[in-house]
Amino acid sequence: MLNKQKIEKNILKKVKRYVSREIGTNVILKNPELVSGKNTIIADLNISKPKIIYDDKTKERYIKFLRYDNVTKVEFSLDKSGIKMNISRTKLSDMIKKKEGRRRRKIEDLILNNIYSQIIDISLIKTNLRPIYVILTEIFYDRKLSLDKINKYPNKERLQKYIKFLTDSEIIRKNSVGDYVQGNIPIELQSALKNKDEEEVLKHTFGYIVKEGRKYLKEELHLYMVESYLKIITIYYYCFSAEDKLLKVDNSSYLQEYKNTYNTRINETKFISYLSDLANIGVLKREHNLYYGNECIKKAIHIA
Amino acid sequence: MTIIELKKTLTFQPEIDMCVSSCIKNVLDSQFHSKRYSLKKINKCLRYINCLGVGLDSINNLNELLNKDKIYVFQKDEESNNIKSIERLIERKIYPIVIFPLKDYEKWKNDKTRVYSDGDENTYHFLVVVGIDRKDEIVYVFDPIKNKYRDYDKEPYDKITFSKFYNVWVHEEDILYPIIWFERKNDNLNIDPQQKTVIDKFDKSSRQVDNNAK
Repeated sequence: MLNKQKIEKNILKKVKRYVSREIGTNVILKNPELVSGKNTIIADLNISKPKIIYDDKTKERYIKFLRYDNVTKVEFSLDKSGIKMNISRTKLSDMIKKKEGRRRRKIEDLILNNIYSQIIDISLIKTNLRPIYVILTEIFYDRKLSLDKINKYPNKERLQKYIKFLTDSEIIRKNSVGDYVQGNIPIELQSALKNKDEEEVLKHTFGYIVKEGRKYLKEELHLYMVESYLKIITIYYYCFSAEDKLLKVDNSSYLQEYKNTYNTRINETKFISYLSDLANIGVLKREHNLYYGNECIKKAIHIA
Repeated sequence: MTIIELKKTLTFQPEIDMCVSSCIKNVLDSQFHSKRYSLKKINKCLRYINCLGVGLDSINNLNELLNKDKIYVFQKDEESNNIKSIERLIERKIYPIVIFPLKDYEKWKNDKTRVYSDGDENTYHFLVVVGIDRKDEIVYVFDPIKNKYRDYDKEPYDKITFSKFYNVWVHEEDILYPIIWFERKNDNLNIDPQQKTVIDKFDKSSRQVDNNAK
């Protein structure tokens, strides 16, 4: 029995060494189990990817580890020729990248849940979603969008696409004479937002569309403005917040991190104007040329 | 005190997990005055993959790249490793590369750096040793992680006291992390017969070198 334990301990030691020697040092072996009767170990792989960030106000530097647990289950087999892992390093790296992407998208969703009613105050987003806004204002203030008006609309085909989206999302519905009126969602929102005026309900309805229809707006209606802002906000909470800190970062650090993380290009002036918009609605905070996060959003992400 | 200065144009790591290749590039540039080895070439040879970093054994692959210039890589991974082992290399104008755990970075770094670690991380950080001051018990190292707020013209190296150095250099069961260095075959290559380099075990060409040395 003792001998068996010794052999198991020895195999495990060899596999651990193999991971740091052959696979990479960002990899952590977890819950290893020896398959009985075989020289095989099955284990979970966790990843701990280091990241360096700066607080541009205090000039302090932070090293944090972005951790991804249970990236995959792997099998290590041992024989006279050595140790083999049943997946390649390239495949493992792809899995980590997917996991990173999923983590970021989760943060984006959590952020959007918290800021959707504020983000629509950004004028560029309003302009980008103008056709939707036009339909909503007609329905909220004129009580209906008549068939007659739809027929006179210059780009009727495009408008029909928005109407279909809003109908499917229960924001509007067709009445018995073919006009469009308020659907279930605004009515429910109205009752949930007691004492709020019509404009407030319209604002929340608009926010609801942005939140619930995010994927559709991007993929089918090709409206990317919400995505652009959301990615910029996400970078802050993904990269620049660390346990007890909301780091203060300047434009260039922020931009650099955005480019690196999303592997994309953006004009610097445009990026700074987006940051300024986000500070104006309070999703980010500004201190001279430095930006930092909002404690409530950080908490909401942390709790989730 | 012995310090062997690195070349003025230092290579800092462009990615957090490129410390290995950046250290190697600095050493090859300074020790062999060779510009032939780009960071890209070194990374390729090390099988660097973003997210995973580099497996320590892949350092042996560098022999394929360097053999043309009769340069060989050595790793000394032994319990007998100590500062004296490093000093001997420095005295021969050879840059030793040492490995510390990244989670211990703030233990030796004398600047405003804080590490958020949950203690479970394996990530290593590679440093080039450039000098030893035995009188004041100080090790001088080049750290390839660039601090954007530091003036490297005034202060290119970090100073670590001997006691701190040992404190972060030790890993499991009192064994020290390996020392890595490069030597040209013509440079009076003199390998301690007791010294087992990892390349001996894995690389055919290095076995040949060892035989020649004997």
